[in-house]
Amino acid sequence: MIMLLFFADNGPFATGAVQYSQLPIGRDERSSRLLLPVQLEGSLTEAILDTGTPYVICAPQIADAIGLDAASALENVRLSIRGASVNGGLHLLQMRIRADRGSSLALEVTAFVPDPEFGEAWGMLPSFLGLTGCLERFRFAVDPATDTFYFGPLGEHQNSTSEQRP
Amino acid sequence: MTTALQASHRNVPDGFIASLALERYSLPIYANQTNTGWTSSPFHDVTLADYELHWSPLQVPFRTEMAQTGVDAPTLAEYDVDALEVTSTGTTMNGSHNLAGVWEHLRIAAEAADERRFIAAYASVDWTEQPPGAIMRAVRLAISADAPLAARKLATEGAQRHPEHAELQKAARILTPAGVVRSDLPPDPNMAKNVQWLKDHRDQYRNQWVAVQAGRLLGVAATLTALIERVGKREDILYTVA
Repeated sequence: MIMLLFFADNGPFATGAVQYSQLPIGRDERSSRLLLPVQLEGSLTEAILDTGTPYVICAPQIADAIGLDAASALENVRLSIRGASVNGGLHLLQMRIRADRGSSLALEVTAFVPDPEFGEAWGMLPSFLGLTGCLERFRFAVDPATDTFYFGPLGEHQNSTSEQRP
Repeated sequence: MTTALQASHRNVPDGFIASLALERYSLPIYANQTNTGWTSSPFHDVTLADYELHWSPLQVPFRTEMAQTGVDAPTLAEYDVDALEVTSTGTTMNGSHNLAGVWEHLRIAAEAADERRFIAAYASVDWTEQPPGAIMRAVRLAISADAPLAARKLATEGAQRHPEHAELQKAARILTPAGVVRSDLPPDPNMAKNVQWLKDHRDQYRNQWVAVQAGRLLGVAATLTALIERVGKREDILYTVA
């Protein structure tokens, strides 16, 4: 296993890394968001890194392409997304972060999928990677100097200090 | 003034728990069957003359609970509604222990996506005393209130206490994902090429779906469905909005 970032005691922090893009999202947004390439079930797409959101918020068009089973979902839940109340269902999704260096990561995450009638209002927004049920499940770090997203499994390490080896 | 509701009944199976509501104000009352009738949780500062009382036996929680007893879902006529009695105990209670008031706070917090308000109300309830239908309702409200950790705690603890409740089991499973299942998978060097293509060319295709494979553009379309029809669906193709 290649380790890309280390704790001070040489324990592994990040075992994979991938490049990301920066882009303002939506008509009114001026600040850039981090867009990370991720695989949701069998679909490789981009998703916004958003620690202020719970769960993965799966864009309706991506959910349609995946072909999720409604019977296995927790239906009829409502979530506030970007100030709008959206009805949908919660699913368990298989997500993969494909490393361009080091090891790729496969995860099971909680994902909110808006009901189909919200597809038009959703427009061209991408999916979101939220904290609870997704980002909380692995270690990650962002290097804005090189647009690199580092990631690795949580493991047992308790040291709070990390550093990058040359 | 604190008031309790009581209703006599007939043909109700043992152990039955129902969800009832004062519909005018949407104040839910979770009633437990006892040997002497249904006894609701008390609620606070309510003048009953202001309400039109309706038993609401066809609400989803009601059906769910009935289904678990193995009894067909009831109709209103099956219950002795005429014998519904409303009595006041005349006892003053602390508002924080007022269950109907708490449900109202939870509902308002959910509508406002107000996690702090939800947590304050949620913390005042002993959820071990609540029936599974009520816990499930609280899970949904917690999700709406942007209180995902409370939703997870309610679902997992409720599922442990009520292994027979299928929806709580499902909620606990979905809200507690496994997280990392493999961390030793090989890298995909094409990812960096795809991201580099997007950085270099995204502006040319703004607000259109693009398909990129190994740093090459495969196709462009207005919708993802049209794009997949054009280029096919493969796991090594990146589909995104430029």
